[in-house]
Amino acid sequence: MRGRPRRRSGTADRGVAITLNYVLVLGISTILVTGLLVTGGQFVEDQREQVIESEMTVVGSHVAGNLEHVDRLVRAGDVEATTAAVNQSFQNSLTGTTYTVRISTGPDELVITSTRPELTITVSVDSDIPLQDGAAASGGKITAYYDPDAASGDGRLVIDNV
Amino acid sequence: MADLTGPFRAGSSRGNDGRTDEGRSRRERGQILLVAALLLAATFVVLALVVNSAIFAENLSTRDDVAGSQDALQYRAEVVDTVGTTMVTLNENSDTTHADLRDRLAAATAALADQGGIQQSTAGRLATVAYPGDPANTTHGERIAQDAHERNLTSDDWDSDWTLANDVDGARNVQFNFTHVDTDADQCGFFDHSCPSPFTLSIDGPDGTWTMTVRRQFDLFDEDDGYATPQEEVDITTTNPAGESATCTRVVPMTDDSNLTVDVTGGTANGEVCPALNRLQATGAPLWLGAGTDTPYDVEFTNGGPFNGTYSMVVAGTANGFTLESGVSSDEPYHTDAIYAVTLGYGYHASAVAYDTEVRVAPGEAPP
Repeated sequence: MRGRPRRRSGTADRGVAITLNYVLVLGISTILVTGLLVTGGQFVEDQREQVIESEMTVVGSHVAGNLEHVDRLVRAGDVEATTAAVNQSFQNSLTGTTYTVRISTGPDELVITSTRPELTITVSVDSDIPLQDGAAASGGKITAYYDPDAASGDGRLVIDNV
Repeated sequence: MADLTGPFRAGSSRGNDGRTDEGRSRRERGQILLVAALLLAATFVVLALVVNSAIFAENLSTRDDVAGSQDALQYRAEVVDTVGTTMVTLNENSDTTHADLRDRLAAATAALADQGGIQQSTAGRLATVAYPGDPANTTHGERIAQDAHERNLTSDDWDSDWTLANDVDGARNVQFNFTHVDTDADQCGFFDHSCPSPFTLSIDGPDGTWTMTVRRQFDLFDEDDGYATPQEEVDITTTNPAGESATCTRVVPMTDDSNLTVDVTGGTANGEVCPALNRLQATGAPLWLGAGTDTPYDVEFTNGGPFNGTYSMVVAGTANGFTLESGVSSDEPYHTDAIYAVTLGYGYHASAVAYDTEVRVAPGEAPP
């Protein structure tokens, strides 16, 4: 006599397969989405750094131009000027980061540094009147001026915030 | 869509709320994608801000210089020109004392300051020009001139070689108008290359002598008659103490109505640029009046006899009273009081520019 056919344990197998299926789908999806976000975030960060650098170059070029203009104002003619200043307003922050413009001598240049991310670029300054080494200004309204008494009577070009 | 919520759906059971697990899970699907989409949206917003900053940076980079920074020098140049022209006019048309000249120039400068100040104020700028007329702001000098164009370039005693001024600290606006340049061919011997003798303006200083000569070209051996023949070309030659020399040539026909104007300090001859008067020396400085000499220097004429014309100059110092008439003379070389240079107070203030300085005005002066 034939016995009753044994019932397969299909329910238990299917349950394992579905669990595996879900784990795989969830895992792969999470990996893909995470990868997309990480890549996208890195791309945006790279772009941000590039934009900050180009903005710092632009701001530095303007400040350098203003310093050179003050140099011309002071040296125009036979008598040195007593007052010569050129002011210009810039953004307080560049793409979300604050920044500092600092004069460095040897060679004469402006060092522009951002805080977050920490980036540094330099812009050269061509001036006959010596620059005041270490003079610095942060973002906002920056004045480039001539200080006739900066170095014990020997005039210097200086930058500062207004 | 795949169910990304992760609940295990082996079967459906009914919960306390009467809904099946299947129904709940359908509603709770897609959180990972939702979160991912929100994060991506935030990333795009940040990217948009970055692009915006980049556009602003490009815009900033194309902006011009700070408004008004050029105007400060431009207005300054206008002031120097205007006061310089006033000074030249006063010197040329006044036979009066230094004090009187200062007062007149101070009055003219005050009028200029008022008018210019009003004009600049309409553009939102404050411009000030000040000349108090003090001797401290003024370099006194004397104007030396000859107005008789038919007279030769000799002293009032008809000396051909003579000194116009001794130990002066400068000479400016040195101008000649030759109405006759030596054409006498008889003085020249056969192939005498030093012939004819030129007219020479000498600036004789501690470091040597700078000279400007004016000489008509001669054909030293004319094929027709074998004698020297004057040409229409006239050479203007400058030489510095180091022996460096430069020449420019102008055509001056040998007719009564032809003349040769030489603006020595302006660097032109007959109105055109004369390289001899501003060619660069080895030192890099132009070969202009007094180049390579030092002050104080003497101003001398040599061989003025065969040359006619008028001339004018202002010297920083005293003219030679023994060779010149005192006061304006219509037929003799003379000297009068003049202002050589003044120092103005100049100020220019705009919204982004501050500029205060002193400006020296000495029209027609070759820099030292």
